[in-house]
Amino acid sequence: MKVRAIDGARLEERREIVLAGSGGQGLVFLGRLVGEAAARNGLRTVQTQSYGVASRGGFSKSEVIVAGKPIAYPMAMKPWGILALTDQARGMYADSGDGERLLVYDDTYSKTVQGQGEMGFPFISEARRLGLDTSMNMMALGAFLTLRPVVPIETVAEILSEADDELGRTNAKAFAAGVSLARKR
Amino acid sequence: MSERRSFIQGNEAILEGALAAGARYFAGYPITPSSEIAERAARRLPAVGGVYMQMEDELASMAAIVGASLAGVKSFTATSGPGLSLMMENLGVAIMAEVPCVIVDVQRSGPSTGLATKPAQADVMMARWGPHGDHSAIVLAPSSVQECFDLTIRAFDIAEELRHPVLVLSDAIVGHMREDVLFGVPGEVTPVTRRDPGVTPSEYVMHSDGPDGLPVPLPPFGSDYIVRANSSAHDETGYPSADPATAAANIRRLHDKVEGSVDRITDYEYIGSDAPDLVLLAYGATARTAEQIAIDGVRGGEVALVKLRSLWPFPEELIRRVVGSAPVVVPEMNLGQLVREVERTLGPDYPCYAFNRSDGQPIEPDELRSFIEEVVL
Repeated sequence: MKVRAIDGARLEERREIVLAGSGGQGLVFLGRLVGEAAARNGLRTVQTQSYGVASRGGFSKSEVIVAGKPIAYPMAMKPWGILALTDQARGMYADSGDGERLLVYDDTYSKTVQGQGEMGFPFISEARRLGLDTSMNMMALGAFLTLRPVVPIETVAEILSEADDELGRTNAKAFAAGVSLARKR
Repeated sequence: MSERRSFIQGNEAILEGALAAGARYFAGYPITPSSEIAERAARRLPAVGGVYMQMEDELASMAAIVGASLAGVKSFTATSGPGLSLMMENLGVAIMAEVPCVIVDVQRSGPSTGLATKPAQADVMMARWGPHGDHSAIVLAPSSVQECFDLTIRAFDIAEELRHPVLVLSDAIVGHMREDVLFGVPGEVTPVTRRDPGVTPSEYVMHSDGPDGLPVPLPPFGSDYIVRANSSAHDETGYPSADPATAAANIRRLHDKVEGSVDRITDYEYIGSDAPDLVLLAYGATARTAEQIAIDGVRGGEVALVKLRSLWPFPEELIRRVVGSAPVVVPEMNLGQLVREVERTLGPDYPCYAFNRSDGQPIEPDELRSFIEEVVL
């Protein structure tokens, strides 16, 4: 397995992200992807998730903590970044974190305007436009990690490129599209 | 490079630890939150020449691993509280007949079906006292994915050395979380292998101790050696005996071999300075909460953590030594189980505090910190 050095005095620090939405959106898969990317970079990482019926619908989440040193408490206490793929999830994390935290959400169907510490992207409509509907979550992750780089996005792209099937290729395309969506902001 | 860093679940690491320890037989009945162990066992064991048995229930699972171990194969099972309840009868058989094996309990909230997907640490006393009769228990408790791997190997080693079942007491948080973990390279992990008895079949006495003071190795059932795995009171040869003196000697020997090995079994980590103002004593997932507090500190004093990786036999000497005279706080995801042992060890006048939560949720650093700052210091 490749281990890369990272320019990471900043990552010595504990960074927490929350990937929240509805069961079936692939939030656990996203969390595993981020954790795997952290491990490949020689970082310490913990990933936890909703377990049980929540993973089949209703509110669901996956949390990832990344640090340059051993991680004590394995759950998020003060998330640095939140990806909210439903309005319900967005509402639940509206007041979490501190001034530094960023909440990235899908504004395709959102009825409320962008608030303090929030950034909305039209993930669903953009994924449809590009014919990448099934990989909307990957597009969201690409944008989110560009704004909250707890792991190098190149490593995530590398892991996605290893899946040699149609879904893998769609995921990789959607992830790249998400990265450029965020970079345009 | 002798390192292989993986990113896996605690439950998966337990299975990898069992394989590294040389275990080649698993019998079980899947139950949340332990099922990933059975799932991975079903995939991985046949690939290394081992056997995975899907049993009809937990009674049969426990019986099967005792049988497999008697036949000479390192064996194990995995379950959660409701399943462990059903294993107690045959766990007693393993203790009485001195059959090494490993039982993994990934604890969930109870009693009975409870909160099936939520964590708890409420099986601590069942792990100690579950089977009826006078007996001892050997219980290890991982708090990280790395410890799931390391302590499972250790569990098999202790089981072989003492010819006694060993419990790995995990929980739903540790079992389901994923962390980066370093596996030992095959060939570098050197598990305790089952040795030759070292005597001829006619000289072999099944329930005796060897020159090293440990129980003589167990020859495989069906070999030239006579192996009497007897759940009834028996003499040294395993032959049934109702003689009071023989029964007393047997019970005392089974008890003493574990309690007398407390130093060999005890495993812990101390995090903090030499003279703290307060000692947190924790295990399993709750040790991670306590560790966060030891790192971040509290208002009003210095905190140290004793992270117990082994719970039974209870390390009384260690506890007395490490706490000094500082107040002790024992956080647990139960209504207060291990804290009773701590209180018993330190005496009725010692400042010992329990912090408990029994609602299927982890103890959070903020609530434990508030308790320490407002109540203890």
